[in-house]
Amino acid sequence: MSFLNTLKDIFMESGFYSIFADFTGGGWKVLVMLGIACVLLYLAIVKKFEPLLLLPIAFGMLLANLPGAAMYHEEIFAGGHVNWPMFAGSDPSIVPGLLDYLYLGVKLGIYPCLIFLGIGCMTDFGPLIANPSSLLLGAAAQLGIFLTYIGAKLLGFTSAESGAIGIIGGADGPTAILTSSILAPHLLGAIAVAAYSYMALVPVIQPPIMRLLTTKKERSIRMTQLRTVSKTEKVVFPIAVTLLVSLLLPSAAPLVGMLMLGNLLKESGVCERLVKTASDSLMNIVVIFLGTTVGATATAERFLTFQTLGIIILGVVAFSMGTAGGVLFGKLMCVITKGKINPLIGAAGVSAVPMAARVAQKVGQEENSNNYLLMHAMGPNVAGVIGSAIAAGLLISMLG
Amino acid sequence: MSTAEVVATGSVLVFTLLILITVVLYILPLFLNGFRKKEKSVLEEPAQTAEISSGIPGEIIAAIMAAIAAEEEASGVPYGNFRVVAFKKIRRK
Repeated sequence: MSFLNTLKDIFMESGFYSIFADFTGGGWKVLVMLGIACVLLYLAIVKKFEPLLLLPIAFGMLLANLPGAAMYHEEIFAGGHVNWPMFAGSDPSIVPGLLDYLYLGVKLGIYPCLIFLGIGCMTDFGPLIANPSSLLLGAAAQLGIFLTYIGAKLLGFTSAESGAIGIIGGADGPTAILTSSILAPHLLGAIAVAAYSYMALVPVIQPPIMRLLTTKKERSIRMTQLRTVSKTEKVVFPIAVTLLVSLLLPSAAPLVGMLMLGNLLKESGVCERLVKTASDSLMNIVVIFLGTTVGATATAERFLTFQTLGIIILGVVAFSMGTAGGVLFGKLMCVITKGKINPLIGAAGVSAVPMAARVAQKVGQEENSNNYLLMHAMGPNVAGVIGSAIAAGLLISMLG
Repeated sequence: MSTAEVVATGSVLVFTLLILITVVLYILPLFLNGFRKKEKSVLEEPAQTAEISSGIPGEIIAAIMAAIAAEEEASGVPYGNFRVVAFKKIRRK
């Protein structure tokens, strides 16, 4: 008899019981979330949509939605801040799980900044330094952020939520995560999924917009070769940008500062071991933690809402508008320089490094197989990283 | 802040900051490199593109491409697309 009771107790503690005991009340939502997690895993593994981040995000979503596993508790982070007493056991019904501890790295803004450190170590700002006007293309491509902000407000999102959604247009995952973890933590999961899904779809979203807004003649423009950038310039660049941006906009300092620290480590040439660690092991570790915990925030209660649908729609608007803004500004620069700038490189102003630059190269070569736009597109591309970090800093300081 | 204020302030400030960095980037080389005439890169664009996509230093690719060009000129036999040939040679190495 006691054997049967034990079996019964085990069954009643199982996730299956939790799902089917209250299926109409909420159990179905759990199944839907597990299904969404599996679809995202499929997209990451089979379709290779940004797998390095989408896979941990999808698996984090899977783990957080397992009934009874209690790996992540929304209550600990309710109200947009960390309820520290709960970690000390103030509520006996809540025992913090692994993902609660790991999520502190997101909540405290540590992971996105560490990822920016690694990105800085891997980024060559040479094309940008050689052609500083690329920065303007990077600025123009941030248009999507602010237009999407308007769209989100019209759909009924609050100002802070709209800012967090708009930042998807920056096409920069860590920036989107940092901004939404501060402005709208309850939307973090949906925003991260939208941002990384659309970043993977850059080769699909951008080319039609680029072709629509440019003529065949403009797409065929061959740009003059970039000048050589000295090592001194490359070393001074991160220091100058950090000083300038951080003094003018302190809220952008964490992202821009870490990006530039990583770049200075690389360009100085004297910190090889640190560069290797930051761009390899540390980056990979943080990506695992970040992806898994961001995915964990996508619980059924938060994710299965009309807001998520709105975010998915606004995300593609943000990417499209950003691309259009960059290309249109590229056209303006083409006119001003009397045809020396190929407007296609403007599309690379949305971050998504280096995929957006590759798309510009590919679309350019469709018109002229001898046209090499990649180096020229890398300028606006890395400018987009700086631009989106600045836009994020601005939104945080205005709406946070 | 109203929606219009956020959009206007945000857009203007993003542009202003990036214009400032642009100005700094135009001025910086003048101080660091002196007021010399801009030097052209020794690398050809295909070599630079290949460097980004392959990770092989552009100088090596440019040197191989130059060697192929010289060989082609000397032999009179066209190799066609130098870039493809250069990649094949690098792979063989």
